[in-house]
Amino acid sequence: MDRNESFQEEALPHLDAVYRFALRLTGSAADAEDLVQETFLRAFRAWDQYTPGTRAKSWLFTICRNVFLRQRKRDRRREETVRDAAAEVDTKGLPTGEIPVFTTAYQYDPEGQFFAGIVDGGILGAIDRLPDDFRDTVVLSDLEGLAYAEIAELLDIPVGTVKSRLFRGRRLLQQMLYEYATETGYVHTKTR
Amino acid sequence: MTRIDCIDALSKLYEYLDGELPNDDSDAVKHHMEVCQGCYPFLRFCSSFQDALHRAGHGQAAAPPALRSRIADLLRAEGIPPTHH
Repeated sequence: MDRNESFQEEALPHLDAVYRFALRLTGSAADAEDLVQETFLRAFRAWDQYTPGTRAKSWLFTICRNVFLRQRKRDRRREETVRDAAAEVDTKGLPTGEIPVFTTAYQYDPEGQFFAGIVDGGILGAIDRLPDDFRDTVVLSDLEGLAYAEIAELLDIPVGTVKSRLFRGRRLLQQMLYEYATETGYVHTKTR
Repeated sequence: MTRIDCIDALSKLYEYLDGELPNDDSDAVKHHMEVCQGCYPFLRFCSSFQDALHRAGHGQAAAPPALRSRIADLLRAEGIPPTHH
């Protein structure tokens, strides 16, 4: 199989996944399209560096994220404080003795049934508003189903950091979803 | 089977749900969740949470056809022939 064929067979089937990932990174369909286009162009040019049979999806996600980060660095500097806060959490590793859930929501609804009532757009919108480091790990794990080891390699962080970001990111997301559900009237805190 | 306490079980809960634990550890968490009334609801809560995320993940938009064809054009210009699937 030549270079072109192997790219078509291994890389192109992941176009939808890369587009979804780009949507979450950029938060805009137009920006996502530009990002995906650039990603596939770079991927094709660098295809010789890809080891056939390894996870093409992770490889493409890595390129996609690198392009995104480079562009954003060029465009603007934003939310440094939020990133710093997330970075500080990382150094602590996985918290022991802490419960993995957002307590207020858990006390209101221990079965977490209210999650099922939140529309897809509400969930994706909340994910988009997570601090960048948390968002990336949650998207790669919960939306794209990547293994911890793949996420660690993609983000160039230790597996322990993946775990702690997921632990904290998911709990923060639960809090945001609970607030969303309260605001949209699905959760009625006062009737309790 | 190794017995684990609540703190251990809860700190490994997501690894368990994500299928990231070795068999022995996975069995230990599973067993703890089955017998511990205090911890079991956390499992339910986190499962509901992840189910909702998975559902939202599956509901995400596919790449627009226009983007697909723009990329095909780009790659053709780079030397890849048009795809037929």
